[in-house]
Amino acid sequence: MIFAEWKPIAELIEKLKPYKKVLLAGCATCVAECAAGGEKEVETLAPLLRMALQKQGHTVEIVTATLDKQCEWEFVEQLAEQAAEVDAIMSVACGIGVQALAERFDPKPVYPGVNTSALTIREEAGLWAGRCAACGDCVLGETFGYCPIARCAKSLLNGPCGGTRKSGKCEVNEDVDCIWNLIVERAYERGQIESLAEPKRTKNWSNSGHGGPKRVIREDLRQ
Amino acid sequence: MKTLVGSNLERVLAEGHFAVTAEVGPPRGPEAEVVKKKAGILRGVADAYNVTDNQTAVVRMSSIAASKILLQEGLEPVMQIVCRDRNRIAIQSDLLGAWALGMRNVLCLSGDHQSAGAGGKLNGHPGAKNVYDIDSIQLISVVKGLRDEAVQDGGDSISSAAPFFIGAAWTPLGPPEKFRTIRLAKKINAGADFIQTQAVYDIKRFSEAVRRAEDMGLAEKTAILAGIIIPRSAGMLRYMNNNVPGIEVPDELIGRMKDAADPHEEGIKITLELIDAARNLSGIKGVHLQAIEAEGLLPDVIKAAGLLPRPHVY
Amino acid sequence: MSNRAEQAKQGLEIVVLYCQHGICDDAKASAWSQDAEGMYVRAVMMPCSSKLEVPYILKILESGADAVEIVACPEKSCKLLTGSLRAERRVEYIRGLLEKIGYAPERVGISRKLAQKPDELIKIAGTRADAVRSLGTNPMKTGEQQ
Repeated sequence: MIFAEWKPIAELIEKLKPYKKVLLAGCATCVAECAAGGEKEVETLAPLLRMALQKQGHTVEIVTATLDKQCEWEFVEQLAEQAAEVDAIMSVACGIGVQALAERFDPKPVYPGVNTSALTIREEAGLWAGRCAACGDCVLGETFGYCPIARCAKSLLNGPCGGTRKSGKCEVNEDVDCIWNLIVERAYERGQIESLAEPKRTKNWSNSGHGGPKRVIREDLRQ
Repeated sequence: MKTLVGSNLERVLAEGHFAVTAEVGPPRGPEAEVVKKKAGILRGVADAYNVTDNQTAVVRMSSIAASKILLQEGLEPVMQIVCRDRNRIAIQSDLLGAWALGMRNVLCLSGDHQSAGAGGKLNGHPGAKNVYDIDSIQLISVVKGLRDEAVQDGGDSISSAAPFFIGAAWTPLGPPEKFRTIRLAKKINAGADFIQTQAVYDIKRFSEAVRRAEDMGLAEKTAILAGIIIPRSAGMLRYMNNNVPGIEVPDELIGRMKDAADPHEEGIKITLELIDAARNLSGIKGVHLQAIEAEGLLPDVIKAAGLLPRPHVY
Repeated sequence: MSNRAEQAKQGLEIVVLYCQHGICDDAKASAWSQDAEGMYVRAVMMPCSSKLEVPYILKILESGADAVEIVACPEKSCKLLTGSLRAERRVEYIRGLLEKIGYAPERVGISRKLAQKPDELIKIAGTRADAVRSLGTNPMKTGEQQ
């Protein structure tokens, strides 16, 4: 899922305080999974914002709505009526949702309520961890199903740096596995360590954001 | 004698001398004088001098500039390059520039992550955007391409080759330990002419790792220099053992430093023992000495180890 | 609840949310309220303290209550095993949120009791009231008065 987390509330207050009426818009897909922008979080953030604004002497009415998906135009359309009645929108969807609202409801100001930061899996209740970096050139087939781009702090392709801790964790964060340690372990388990002895050439990053903004056309799907 | 590059370090190794390299950390400021002063202290005690590239992710004078100052002072640099801060375009450009300025040895490293910030002693720049476009092994291949084929990574040729004597690092005792020899082999196959290891204190485990490298035929394909950091206190050893990945310090050494009446003396004694042990390993072709922020200790240590004067190979 | 302003003058408004096992059998009631010394107590019975969602508690504060006290089962007695533990974690989370908006975290609390008589619940509410008395009334209530 796309992972996002609330921006500091003080930052949100700064953005909202000039307005009379604001729509706080959630999304029931990824950001609900990561407990940042689903209905429950919208209904948590809304009272907090109201209390904070009032405490600071600002009278801002906050109304709420949570769409099934903020990244699809059909769903975005459902906000049209509410959007027309407010002075600004704060979206707690990922950056895609924020931009969809900004585009559809232009010139209404749309503010992000969250920082979108990763593509994660929920490892267990209350614990999310990055899994994919959308690098555009997937190597998982050669790394035994562990991604060294998203899960190595240095995105190394040829094995672990010198920073693997005795515990097998990463030098950058002692709670995070050195992913190369796991890749190597799995290669040994499967009797395929020689495959990791092959050098991996410099990577082509151009199919990711490094190649410029993504734009893909599929003629068979166009109208 | 046929050499690839003809750097002093390459010649010393080619002639079969036990090589000595030492580390010179550039200053956290623009003063050429600081580098010159260190050069003055260290002139003549080593065959080449590693110039670190913003180590522990702290901004320092660039390794190119500090290397050039060493060169002007008559010391041969081993210019370190990390993959953290520059992409393949900038790195290759800097390599051409460095060659033009007279640098002939490079050490290819991944580089400390920007969250390192001098182990928390300084702010550093944890908010920096890192690069890691290529990794250290790919960097070795890139340098080899510039040297052997006069070609850039992207396939375009350069007008004439830029021959460097190529170095790489080895952390023999870091997990996954079994794979570390394979990774060493990858570096050598990619083009590493010499290897400087992570600091060695556990000579027994180190010699086992070196034997594994010898068994794979790696020790004759490259020149492995054992890394040695002069211990200054029991606390420093304990810190490194607990916090620096790949450094294993036996309890016995920590105990010796703790019980020593003069830890300074004891640290030098331990260093000399380590140098001696390294010299007795057939797979080891030299030592890489570091006296962190205390370069002044190095001349006496190298002398006491019987490694002076350094060979004249020109 | 028609005359909040009236109550505010009289004293603090404390909402007690209690697990159904937190009250003795002969006093079970889904909701009740009572005036007590220096405070007005609203009490609501829950099937389990773990049913208390974060937004629900925040909305009680938003609507002007001065404090919320959750009465959960002792950890080992929780019929849903980890229900009361979850409630405790949520209370901690809410307290953190309140701090971020400049509200005193003491406005939400949790205690662990089984089979209390109503007057014992009032006493628990009183302890919560004492903890927030020095903070003054909830700014949301003042806002309503304006």
